Amino acid sequence: MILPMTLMIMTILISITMMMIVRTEGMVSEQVYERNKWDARLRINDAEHRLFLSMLVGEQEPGGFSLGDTYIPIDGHPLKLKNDVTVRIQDQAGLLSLRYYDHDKMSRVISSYKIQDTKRIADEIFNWQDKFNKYKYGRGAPFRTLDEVMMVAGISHAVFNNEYGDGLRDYITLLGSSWTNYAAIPDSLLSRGIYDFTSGDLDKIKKSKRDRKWASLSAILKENSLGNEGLELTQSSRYYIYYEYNGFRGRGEYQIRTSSRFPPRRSLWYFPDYERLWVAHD
Amino acid sequence: MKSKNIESGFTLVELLVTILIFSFSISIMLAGLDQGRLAWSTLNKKVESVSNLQDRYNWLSMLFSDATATQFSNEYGEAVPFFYGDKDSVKLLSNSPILNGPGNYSSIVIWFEKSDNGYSLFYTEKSNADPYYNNDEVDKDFRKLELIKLINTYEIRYLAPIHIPLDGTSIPIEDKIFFRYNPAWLDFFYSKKETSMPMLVNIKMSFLNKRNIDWYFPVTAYSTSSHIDDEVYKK
Repeated sequence: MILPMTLMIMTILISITMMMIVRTEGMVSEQVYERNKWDARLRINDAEHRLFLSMLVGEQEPGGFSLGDTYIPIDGHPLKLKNDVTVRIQDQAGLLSLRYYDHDKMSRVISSYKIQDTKRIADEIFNWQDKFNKYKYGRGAPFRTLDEVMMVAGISHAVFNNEYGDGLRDYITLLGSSWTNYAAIPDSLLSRGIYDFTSGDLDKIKKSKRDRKWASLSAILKENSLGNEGLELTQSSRYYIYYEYNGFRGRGEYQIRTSSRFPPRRSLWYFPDYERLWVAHD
Repeated sequence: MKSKNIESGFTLVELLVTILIFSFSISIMLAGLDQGRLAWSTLNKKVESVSNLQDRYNWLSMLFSDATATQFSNEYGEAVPFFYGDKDSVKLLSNSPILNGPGNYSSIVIWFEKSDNGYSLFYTEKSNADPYYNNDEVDKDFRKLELIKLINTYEIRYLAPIHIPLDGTSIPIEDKIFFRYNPAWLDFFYSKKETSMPMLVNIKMSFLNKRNIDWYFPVTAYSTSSHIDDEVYKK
């Protein structure tokens, strides 16, 4: 009689302990997450200031900044800093601007996400912003934020985010620049077939970006009659910078000129850089 | 033949005594266990309240760091961002509202209000609303969220940036408070008068349980979509 009772009591006690352990484990892991997030935030802050310095005093090349032995590409190519933060800098002149709107390129980039009816969607993105549009569609003023693009019918959040990388939001900018800097177009965007380069040219462009052979890049552009009085290899002053440390992502948008006050203007700051989602209600 | 009727085992008294001792020790053990459980649940509640506050801090911090500083025309034809803060409430536009989450451009109001037990910090948002659409009036009772409760005292302050008057303009005396040569902490911030966003928002709260918090939130001061009258060029 005593043995079964003891066993029962032991079972009850063990299950109570297990419950306590499970709940405590949940609380502890939550706190560990917060601590790691804060650690990542501090390191990303360090990384941000190192980049500011390199970009303000470094020598500007068409596709990046060089400072001593360090070369910082601006076509979104990842670079691991000494404090283990991986950064990607993207000159906005290598992306598609919503303000200086290129209908054809926008329609091609949308179709590269395998969606139908791309011409209509590209039209609607323009009409959304156009104050003279006849249909009273959208805002009739420039987009307030890139997220608003998800309100255009056809741009789903899957296309916009594409699971954190290589989504439409990585290839478009609100303002950007009126010209294209071909040395700053990310490799992944080049591969999406929105420019009329042959595949041989594409490989050469990617290679000359990595080897910093700007003269050969310029020659390819001339062959394709894409010269623009030197602007075709000129950086804008607006950049996206993506940070990643220990699984935490951050994203900022900056205007950095050599004449900028320190710290430079930051017009966007996502940390952690969550997926964006438009909820259609209210 | 005499058979001896000897049975092995416990007598009833022995059994009763055993059960008594056993139940006595069990009750002592359970009492101890209950003490432990009580201590644990108190700790659990404390941790939970800390992690609840941590969540609120994270939400507010994303909201302010993803604020929209897009410029709208004011009555003098100047381009000004939208931010209205006083000592009880804050009204702004953000791309990371708390209810709908990151990616939903919204008009937001955060305010302190007297409730049954001390003060509470309330929150509400309205999707896709701003002064340009002229629908930025937010109904505070619609989708009202009680963010933090049991607050004893509170304070909201704003770090206002440098604001120097243009050369040759004279400023009415009542507007002098909106101009300064060094950043200053104020208990109000009207972007219409300042023509800018505050640099930081500071929320201090002391709770009925004597706990204090002092939160600083950086606010995004510039948006790329800078001016409402900017034109869009099409190739």
